[in-house]
Amino acid sequence: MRHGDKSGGTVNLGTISPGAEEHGISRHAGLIFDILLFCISGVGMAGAFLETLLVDWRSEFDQTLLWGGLLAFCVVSALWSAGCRKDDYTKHGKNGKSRRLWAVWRTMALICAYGAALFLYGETIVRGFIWSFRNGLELFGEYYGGEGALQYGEELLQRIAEGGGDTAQVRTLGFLAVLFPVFMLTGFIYARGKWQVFLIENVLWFAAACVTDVFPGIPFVTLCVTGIILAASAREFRDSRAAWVQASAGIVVLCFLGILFIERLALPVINEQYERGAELRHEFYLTVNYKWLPGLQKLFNGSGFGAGVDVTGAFGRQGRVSGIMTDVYRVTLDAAPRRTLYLRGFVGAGYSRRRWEPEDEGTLERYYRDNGFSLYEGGRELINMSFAAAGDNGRTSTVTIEELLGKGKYSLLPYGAFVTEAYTVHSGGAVDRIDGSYSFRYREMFGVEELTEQWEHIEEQYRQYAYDSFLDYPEERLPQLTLTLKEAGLPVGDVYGCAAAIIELLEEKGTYRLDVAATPVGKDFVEYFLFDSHEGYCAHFASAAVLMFRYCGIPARYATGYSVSAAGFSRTPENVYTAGLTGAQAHAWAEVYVDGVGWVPVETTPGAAAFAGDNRAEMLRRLGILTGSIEPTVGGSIVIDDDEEEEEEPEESVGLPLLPYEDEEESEEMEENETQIRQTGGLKGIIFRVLLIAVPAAAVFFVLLGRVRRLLWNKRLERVGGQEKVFLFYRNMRSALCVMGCPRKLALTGEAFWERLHKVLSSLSREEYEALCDILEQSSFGNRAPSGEELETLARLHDNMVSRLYLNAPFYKKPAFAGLRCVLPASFRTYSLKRF
Amino acid sequence: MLKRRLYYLLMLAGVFYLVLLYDFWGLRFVAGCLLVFPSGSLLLLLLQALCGRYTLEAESEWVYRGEGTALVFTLENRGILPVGRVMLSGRLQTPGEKDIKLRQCLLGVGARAAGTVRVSVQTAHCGTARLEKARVRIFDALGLFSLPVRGNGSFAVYVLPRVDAGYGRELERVAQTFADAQEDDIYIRSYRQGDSIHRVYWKLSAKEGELQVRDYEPFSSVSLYLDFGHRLREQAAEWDAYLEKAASILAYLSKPGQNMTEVVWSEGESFRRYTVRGGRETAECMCAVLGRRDDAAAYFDAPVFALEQGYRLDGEGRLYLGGALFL
Repeated sequence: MRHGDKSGGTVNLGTISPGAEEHGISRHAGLIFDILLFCISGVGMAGAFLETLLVDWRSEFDQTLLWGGLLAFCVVSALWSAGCRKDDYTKHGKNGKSRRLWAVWRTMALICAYGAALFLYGETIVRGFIWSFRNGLELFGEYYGGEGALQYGEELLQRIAEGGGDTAQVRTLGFLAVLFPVFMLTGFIYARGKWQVFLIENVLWFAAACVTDVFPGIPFVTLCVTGIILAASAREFRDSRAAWVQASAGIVVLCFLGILFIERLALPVINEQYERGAELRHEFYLTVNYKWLPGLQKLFNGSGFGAGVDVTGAFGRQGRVSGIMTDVYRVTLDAAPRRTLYLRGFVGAGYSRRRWEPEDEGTLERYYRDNGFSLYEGGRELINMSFAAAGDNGRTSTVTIEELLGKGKYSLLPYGAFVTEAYTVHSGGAVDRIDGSYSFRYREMFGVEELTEQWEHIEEQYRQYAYDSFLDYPEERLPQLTLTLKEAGLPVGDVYGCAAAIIELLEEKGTYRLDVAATPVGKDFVEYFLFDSHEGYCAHFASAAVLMFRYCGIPARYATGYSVSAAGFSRTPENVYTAGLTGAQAHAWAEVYVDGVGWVPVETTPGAAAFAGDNRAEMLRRLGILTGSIEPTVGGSIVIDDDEEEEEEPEESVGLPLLPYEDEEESEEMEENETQIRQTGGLKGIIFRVLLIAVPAAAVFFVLLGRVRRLLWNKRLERVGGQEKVFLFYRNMRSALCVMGCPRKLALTGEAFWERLHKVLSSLSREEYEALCDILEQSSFGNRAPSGEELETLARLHDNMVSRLYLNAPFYKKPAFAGLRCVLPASFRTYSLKRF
Repeated sequence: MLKRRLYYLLMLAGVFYLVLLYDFWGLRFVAGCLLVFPSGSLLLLLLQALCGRYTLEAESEWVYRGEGTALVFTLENRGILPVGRVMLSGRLQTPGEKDIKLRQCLLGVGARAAGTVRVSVQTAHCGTARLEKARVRIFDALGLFSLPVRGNGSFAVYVLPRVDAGYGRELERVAQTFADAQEDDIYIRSYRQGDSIHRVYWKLSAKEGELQVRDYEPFSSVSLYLDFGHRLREQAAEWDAYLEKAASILAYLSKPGQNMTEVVWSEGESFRRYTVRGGRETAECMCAVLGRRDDAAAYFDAPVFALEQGYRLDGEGRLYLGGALFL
């Protein structure tokens, strides 16, 4: 007892102190506990796997072999893991070393034995395993493998049956052989102190149960739950053997009672409440699948043109990752498509430096009011005008559009659509969406029919509006383009001729490329494309075309939306044609006003990724027919006889369509270009994805590296002798001082070193410094090893000094301490106190 | 523990998320397990917390500087259920050093048993080492919930200065030289009835306002006035040195054969005094100087001028006697 002790002590109730005096007894008790834990958990897990994977183990397995083998595995893995414990490795001297070697030999022996068994009886084991799990494998194959996998599985089972792989012993051995490495791995990880391995094991069979929709029996589940709770609780009682034994017994009993309570009392109540909450669950389901998940996808896909649900007038794609392969919409047609389908979402009326601006709300109404015109149906009639103009020349189809990536602002509208009164139409021609899935009837315009008087009147009024509103050409901002157009001598007023000339001019001025740099600040988007970079994508071509049309006196608008070629549709068993629209199919094009028809799309982008082939000629021909410049022709042309339609209807769209007027080589070249564009498209997104994974992975790597280095250093410290310990401490201190600015090579006298040290660590006292020097001198030049007390003093000095340096270090230097194998202040006080 | 709770909450959230989305009996069973078992664990924890009592004490009341002591934490489990993790947390304040966050766990105490944990504490400076904001919490078997446990006791250790033998010898040498140089009139005391008028020290009396006489005989008591500023307590190394000198002086003055020594020091606005009669009381006196108030008496009207005429150790470590520099 020391000075100043109090007299009259506390009552002693049989104090149990954590310590080494019970180590011998604890070791055996620990082994018994491990065996118990492995048996409970192992049997439970194995039984759960058997039942969830639909194995009829009662009749198809050899019971003795099965349960005997399982218990044997549990005991072996528990014994083996006991030898792999960290504590055994850290023992000093021969005892620890021999234990380590023995553990290594045992592991090698087990691996070799298992390997030999696999080598000799591998085929039998595989046969037995496949046969015993055939039901479960069949189910997995059905869900995930497809018909091919199922067929292969049936053939395999047939071969196994013929080869005699279906005896009870073989099946049991097959199962046990697969389970053996799982048990060993569990034991190894558990020996490292990670009890969570038992939880993960059970998650695996639970995942299988979710797939097969089969939950194992209560006895096995009880064993599994008991095993998890025992493993999780074991470390909470490790200082007291008595507490541990009492707790384990209590946990086993309580787990059984608990499961009984859950099964008999709690679960019926939960089920009842579950049934009552069906509506809530449905709402939640819809929220998750139509709001949260799409929102999450949108977060990665970004926003803007081609990168999300809404198409806009922006020239570029804003967003960090271009998820061009993510389905944004699903389009369904009730009849086989013959041509590329254009679905318009956004209409741009005004050209600004960075985007096309939509028409201001109310512009149409104001114009009509000012000019004494009438809007009969709120503007819907202006869209339906094209439907009327197509008349019987166009085949009427129904297109259904489903939103897959969240709620869009506007509906996607095909040309020639008929908009019902359920929809609200905006000035610019955009149509509000009313639901996540909507349909329009539309007519493909292969010719023009004479409009009725009423429609003619409507068209006349709108025509005036179109000519007054959509000829705006900012000449002062486009000097080079104006000059070029003057020199080109485009046919003013002739829609078809102008379109052909514009397509030719654009072909000459620019090439298609998706991954182009942004327009430099101060430069015009279109002029930079036409006269500087000569590279662009659909937005460039469409913008240039619209301006050229307007220059030629033809009302034109910039339209964005989605386009899908006929080849992009596939036929379903219900005899409809569906296609998924991805970001790659977001597209921009020009639309021109054709008198008596309405707005007609004009394709000016060469070889875009949106469709299989170059669509320009097709669209130009259609424009020619609609303007009356060319006559519709038979044989692969646009006019379709109803009778012929049924005969020519393709069964399913496979590969690229070969238009009869096109060369096959040209088709193949187009296909190659498309593939190349798809491959190169989204390069920035790929780089970002890589960085998104690489940066956190690197951070985790460096953190783990720091921990591993500290662990190794501490192990080395405990392993080496006294003088080397002194050296290691000293070296670490010097490294820490270097981080704080002391030069590494300090060949200085004692006083100079003290001054330098004091400068970096002002709280270091002279006494401490002299104590440190004494120990270092004695260790270096003395003829005896440092004593335990000296080492303890040195450790304390080291820890204090390093911790003070760390605390005083600026934030940007603190990570360097982690890399120095120094123990950080949070933990080393208790560590150093326990070290010697 | 925080990690474990976080994992549990994540698992619970994940299971409920899946339960709402998918109609699978197994998921509801798992949800039931995740609710029932922790709830049961919490109920048992309530019982365990009621039956637990802790005591906290120091192994020794005071130690010399540089020596170690231990904080002894004992949990007594009076119930029939074993207790898992018990955590003692607090801020360990050691003089002259930054506070340490102490977090010590006792893993497992059997039914009707007690468990003890000792935490070694090393102090490098004089002062009081104590454990502030001590809290003891008991955890359930799953490590998810915790409840406070009642108990008593505290940890406070006085770290005393060592007596510097060399200084003591020097002190003795100087004292001898001083005594030899003085013929008489070394001792000054207050006037008592019967004293000769010729022995009155008129100059001091005028200053003090009461009669002081010179005496040939040594005093029955000696005063040692520790004249240090409040800020000296905050400078660890200087405070250590000062206290070592004070202890050495006290040890010298309290040698066997010497009479009692009255030690006076200032504390805030007032003074405190402690009378040392023997060697053992030196340590008690030092404890009083360091802050143990039970023993030191308040001394509101301390005659500073008179004290300055006795032994006075100033803040710089200089010892004066009778106003003259002694050592």
